[in-house]
Amino acid sequence: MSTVLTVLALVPDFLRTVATAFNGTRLSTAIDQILNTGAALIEAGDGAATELQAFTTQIKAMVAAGRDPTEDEWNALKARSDAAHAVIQGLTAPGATTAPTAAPAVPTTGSAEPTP
Amino acid sequence: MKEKWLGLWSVLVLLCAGIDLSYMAGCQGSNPIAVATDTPQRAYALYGTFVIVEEQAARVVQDPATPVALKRAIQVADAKAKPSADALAVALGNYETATAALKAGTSTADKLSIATNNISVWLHQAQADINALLAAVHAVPGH
Repeated sequence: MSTVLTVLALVPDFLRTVATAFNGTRLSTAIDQILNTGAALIEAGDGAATELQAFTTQIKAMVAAGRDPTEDEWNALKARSDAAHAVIQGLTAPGATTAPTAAPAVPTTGSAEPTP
Repeated sequence: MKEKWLGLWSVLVLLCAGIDLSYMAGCQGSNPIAVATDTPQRAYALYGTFVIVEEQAARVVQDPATPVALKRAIQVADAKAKPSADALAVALGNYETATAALKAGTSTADKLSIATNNISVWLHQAQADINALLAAVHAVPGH
């Protein structure tokens, strides 16, 4: 867990970079940094290394083919998430209330359509 | 492009060093986000990484040996993490769309700024929520 916290300590600087960068290379780099942090967290101590390796191989194949994820691939991933979410949320601990499922109240603006 | 990759490699090396030197040899090899080369691939890789965590969480809560209180903690953490991950995936897609539209001359810099701001907001939220889910899983003995 300490390794996870070590990586987490790097996050605020990355977020500040994104918050102040609104164009070009600087933004791309900032996004790269944060996205890499997410995967590094998993590598820091998670037991799903085999699955992560398999998924990495899938991404490598995608890169080698010079293509982006398809809608079907996105849907498959979201279906897996939905299934896992249903399993987790289907549990009812004694005395527990229903867990919140709504999205966090973070304002989003803009009119661009979701693409995934 | 060269600056972008230099930045990517710098952070990758930094993260490898921050985690454990033993990971240095294989850090990128098992990091789906690091091997992706554009924003749609990275968004997909990040979401897939979240799914792997979430599926592990599902296995943990189905384990009869997992204490009920820890199952409940995972349940609460997942209830926050999933909508955040979903929203981040959408925000990243919107950013890609806005970038392409600006390059094509069919949009304005304002819209790209809005998309960028949304990424910042959702990255912050998702990062915290996914980490909380990961911490909840790691709180279970043996995980």
